[in-house]
Amino acid sequence: MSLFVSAVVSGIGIGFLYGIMGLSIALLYKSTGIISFAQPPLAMLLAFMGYRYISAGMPLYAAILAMVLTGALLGVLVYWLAFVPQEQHGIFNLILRSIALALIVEQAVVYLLSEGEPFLFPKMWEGGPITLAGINVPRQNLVIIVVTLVLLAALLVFFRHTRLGLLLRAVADSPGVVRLLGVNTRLLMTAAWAVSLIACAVVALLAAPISLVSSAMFAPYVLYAFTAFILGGISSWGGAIAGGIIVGVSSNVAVVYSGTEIAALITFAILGAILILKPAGLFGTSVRERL
Amino acid sequence: MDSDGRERMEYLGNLIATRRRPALRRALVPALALVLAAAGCGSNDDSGNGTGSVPGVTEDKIIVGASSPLTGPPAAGCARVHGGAQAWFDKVNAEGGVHGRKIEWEILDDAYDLARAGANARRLADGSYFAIFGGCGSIQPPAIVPVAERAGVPYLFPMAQVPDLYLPAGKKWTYAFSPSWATMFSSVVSWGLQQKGPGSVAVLFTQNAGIESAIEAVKEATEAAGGRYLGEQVVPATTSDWTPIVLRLKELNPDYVVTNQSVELALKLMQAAEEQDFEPNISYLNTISLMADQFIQGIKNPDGSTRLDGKVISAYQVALPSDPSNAECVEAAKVTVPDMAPDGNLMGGCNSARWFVELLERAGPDLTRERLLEVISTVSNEKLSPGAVPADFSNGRHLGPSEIYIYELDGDWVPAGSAKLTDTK
Repeated sequence: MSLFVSAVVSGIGIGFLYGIMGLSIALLYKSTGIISFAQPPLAMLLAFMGYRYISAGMPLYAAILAMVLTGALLGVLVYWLAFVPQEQHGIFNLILRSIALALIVEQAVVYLLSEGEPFLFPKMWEGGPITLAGINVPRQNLVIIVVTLVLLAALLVFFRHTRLGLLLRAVADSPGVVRLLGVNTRLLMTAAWAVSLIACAVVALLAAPISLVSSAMFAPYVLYAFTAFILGGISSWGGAIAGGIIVGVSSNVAVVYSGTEIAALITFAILGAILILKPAGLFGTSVRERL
Repeated sequence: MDSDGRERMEYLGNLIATRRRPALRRALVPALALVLAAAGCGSNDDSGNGTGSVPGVTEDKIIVGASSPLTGPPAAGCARVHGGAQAWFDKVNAEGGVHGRKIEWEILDDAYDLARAGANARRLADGSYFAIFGGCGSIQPPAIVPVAERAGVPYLFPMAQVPDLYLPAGKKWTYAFSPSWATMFSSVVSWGLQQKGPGSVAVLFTQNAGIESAIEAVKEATEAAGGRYLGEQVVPATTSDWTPIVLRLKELNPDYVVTNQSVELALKLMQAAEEQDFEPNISYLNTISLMADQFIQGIKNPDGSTRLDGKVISAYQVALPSDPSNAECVEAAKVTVPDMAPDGNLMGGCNSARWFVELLERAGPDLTRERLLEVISTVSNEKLSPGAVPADFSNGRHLGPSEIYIYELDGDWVPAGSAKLTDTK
């Protein structure tokens, strides 16, 4: 029994990371309609920048703040440089740009920053695991859970109780109406990218102590993050977190009892089953289109 | 195209022109020109950068190439292998080269990809290079060996642990610096169980070329040494969470865990193991991949000890950087790659280059590919480099080492003996 509980606990920890990555994708999709494949490599870039800040002598918590601010700035830059020019050519074009951006960022990091990797990244809470009811819970897992819940609470407040957040929700639901009301949608898109990249910075600083900072650190996350995004209902950022937990727990339990060879098979079989039963995902809503 | 080729083409062109099938003639002549041009380009030893009849050898240069990862996940470790080899070449060149010829070594990036390695091999075999030397990674050699053998290009001493370099017997141009994973692990497991006592053995491998035969070899070696084989886990390199893998190991409670992880994956494994209070009862058994400074630094305690002192055994065909036999390699590396702390990878690259240079010296000033092969075949259980195990290429052997050095972790890697490679697979 303790083996099962240990697998579930570790699955929740990694699931939250998949979920935050999925959340960053969902945030962007909900606000801009773009499904961006660039989030994992951008998170990797932010991890490298965090490592550089710490290597330059910045205290850990200052480096964390700097990473978050860098994430916001990076989001603004990415949007204006890669997605604003010629944006009238449709969503498919923009999605393809995100794929190109992902490849460019990945190769740029490999070429410019990766020599000597992997790099150790300090944990936010040093020390051995905490034993709870006979189960070893790594401190970093507890940090992940707490930070994710804080992030979710902050997003809840932002989207429900701030003008910018409400406008982002409005532009996601009815972009045309928002434009007619004279709202600067360009500014809203910029804000959406900034918030999305802040989420990427958060996943980078939570994952880096476990995954080590390397150019391949988020390669394993891509498939699972998108699975979390889809499972959650693609437009629900809370659903992405829930989807991440389902992916993390099912994958880890499958590895423990069946081995890594069929763990992915089991995880995606669960994805398939959920989408058959609930095509819009766990928290998504079906949309009717008039043809 | 040479004058013979032009004459041949002219004769055939005239022959075809007299035939009474103008359409066929129109198609045949250009096709024939292409065939003759290709034959002309391939049949002449004067092609490429060679002077006289030896490709890649000029009056003042020996040009060799390699296919190796310059980018991608293994690039960091491979950069050290390259750095070590280049350091030795730079030292030799600074002292006048080999019989007055300086060694020029060009590395083509294959990004640890089989298809790219094959394309690189075809380029390296095009007549511009005297030999394919070195390279890093076990995925690529199966693509390079057939090209080298067909083209008659020496393919020497890559840092790769696959039997394709020396098996099956009958190869002419390919010679290995490293035994296969199967042979290495078989030897390490035998040594470990004999020295530390028989016990239960679990395998934890990252997917890589040759691991199926490595697993079989571990199983056989365990049983031969009186141990008990518990089973294996093969994990993809893209594993994001090592905790469930460690939990499975913990359930097995093995005395030994045989691992092949790279430094990055090993650090993640060890971190997850520490979080779950797991370590094998006796030791991890590893070969080569952890003989890197990055691994030591990743598990170092502030007092200089490591978290795994006495719990890791590894094996390599090269001595440690601190060993006096590698003093020259360490000094050479300080000049060429001063930012790289000397470690196993650096010493591996340097010693493989020393083997190559020693053989070039013995081949003499009238260097040809065939002469080099003759010299290689005379090497019989002797040290081509002080920092590496003795080499034996006699009696048709294409694998140099017949033994490996064993190391234990105690603050750093410490020599613990040597093991004969009893079973070459």
